[in-house]
Amino acid sequence: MNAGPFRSLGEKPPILMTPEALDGMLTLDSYRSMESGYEGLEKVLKEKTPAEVTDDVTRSGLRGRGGAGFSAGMKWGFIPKDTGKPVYLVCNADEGEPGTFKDRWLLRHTPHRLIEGILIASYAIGCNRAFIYMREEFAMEAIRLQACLDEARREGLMGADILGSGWECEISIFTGAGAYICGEETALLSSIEGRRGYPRVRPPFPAIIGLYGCPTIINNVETLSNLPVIARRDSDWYASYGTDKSTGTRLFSISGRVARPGVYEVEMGVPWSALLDDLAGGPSRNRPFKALYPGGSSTPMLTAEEAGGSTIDFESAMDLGTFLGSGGTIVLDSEDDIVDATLNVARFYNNESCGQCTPCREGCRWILQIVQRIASGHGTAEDIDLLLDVTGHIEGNTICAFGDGAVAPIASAVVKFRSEFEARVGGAQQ
Amino acid sequence: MGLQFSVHTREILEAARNEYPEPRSLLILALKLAEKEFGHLSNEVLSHVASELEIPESVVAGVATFYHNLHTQPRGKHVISVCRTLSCDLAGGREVAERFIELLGIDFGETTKDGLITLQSAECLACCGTAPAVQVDFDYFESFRPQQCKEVIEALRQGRQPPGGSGVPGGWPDGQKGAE
Repeated sequence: MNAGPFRSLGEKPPILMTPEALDGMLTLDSYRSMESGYEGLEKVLKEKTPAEVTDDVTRSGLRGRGGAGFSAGMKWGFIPKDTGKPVYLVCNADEGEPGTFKDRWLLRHTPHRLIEGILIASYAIGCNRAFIYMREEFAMEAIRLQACLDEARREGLMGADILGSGWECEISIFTGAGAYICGEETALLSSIEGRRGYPRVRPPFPAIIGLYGCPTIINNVETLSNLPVIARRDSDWYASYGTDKSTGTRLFSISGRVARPGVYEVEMGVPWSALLDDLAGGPSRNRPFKALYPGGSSTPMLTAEEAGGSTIDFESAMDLGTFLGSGGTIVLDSEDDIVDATLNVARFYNNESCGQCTPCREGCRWILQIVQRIASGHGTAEDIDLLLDVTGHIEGNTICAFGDGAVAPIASAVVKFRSEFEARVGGAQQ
Repeated sequence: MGLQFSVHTREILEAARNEYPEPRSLLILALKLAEKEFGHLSNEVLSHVASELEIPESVVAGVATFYHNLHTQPRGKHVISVCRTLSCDLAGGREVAERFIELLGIDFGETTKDGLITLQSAECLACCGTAPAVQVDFDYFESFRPQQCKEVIEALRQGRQPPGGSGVPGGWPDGQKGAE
């Protein structure tokens, strides 16, 4: 797979996809010698209180890399003090958003960095038992990660009295059983508790009532993988990357009609062309780009022109009415049919809706049926508006963000490429 | 009821018990192990899991029917999954699927008459940069070409592991910490 080249605003080195990481730091020795592995943890345990670590991470500006983009340190700060209950940390490694494969890269190449990140986060929130929720399909990654956990335990980095600090922490891998919805953080908790992967109503947020009814933080693989370097250097160094409100770098997995699909790291704030053209090599078929799902298929589609005039950071994405999501960019070119792409996406969400809320369960099926009708040339002009109407009744009316995510690519496609839908109705055939 | 977990399965469950504050967290693991051991999650198997974990049968059945990778109906000895999500579709996943359908003479969701192979479609396998992706049991095949279909089927028919995969057809050994 293509991976590695980095684009920054200035002349900065990569943070996550370092040359050493590209080679793979699979053993404790290699992680220690090549990247001063576990020095960040040692520094944190020796020099800082949990509250100080949380403050540092808040100051670094690190925001969640799983989709929502919420401040990591602020999220940790929601853990109530002195409830008498255990606190849990769960690493979300249930990567499944269409177009997203960057966490898999991190799991494969820098497993010890993730373990160190989990330990630092656990220390900060007062957790002594952390779980890694990994999708079952990542068997090779789970085997590799378990070997690293075993190694960490042997070296006194996991278990009791870590690095002589008196602090203890256990980490276990929990594998799912195939359900996209379990990447949603509260569905993930239901799954660990041995239930159907149904999301839960918020509030209460998991930080207050989470796993087994206890305060719980769920962080994404990439978010956690950024913690060791923040601990080892400092939050100002991390915040020197990126823009004011979108600090650091971001991994993007890019696929579709690009010459070099793969995983790339970019500094926040670089133009989209740095990712689409410089790193991913531009169009794969000598045809101009037409559209892209910027952060996975549940983020509103952008036209190539919109992306071309914008930069990669949380605020610019919001200005365009979309999100960076999980950093899974799928690119379409001028030969790709938006209706066909929309059909594929509609099928996915219909198939993966957990079925708990009526608007999503029924609505995703209706959306699929309407798009199928349009795609097969049997639709009418009214179907196009009906499609928008149905999406409007799902959005905001469901327990979790799945419903919003399921309609975002549909509604944005209809609004931005309405002529392609119109060309398919009223007998116009492919 | 004559059905009983093997000693091996019990050992895995016992080891995992220490990792979770509540035993119900073992349910998904127990169902996976049961499927491995008994073939599929029949009513009898679900009852056994329910009594072993002291969880109501209705709850066990609810979980068993929720997750894509748990199966209450018999399936083939091997499962070929072809990703049909967008990036794989753009990269030719459909041609791969059509070739498998043609060579096996079965559709998605069906099993060959000899019970050897079940063909199914999969949703995003997080393999979009090297699309299209195919899984044979737990073995990942990236940048899969339609020409490879025949080779994969032949290998399975001859009892060999198809070449070119990630090399972990058996999946993650849940609970077997540091076994290998």
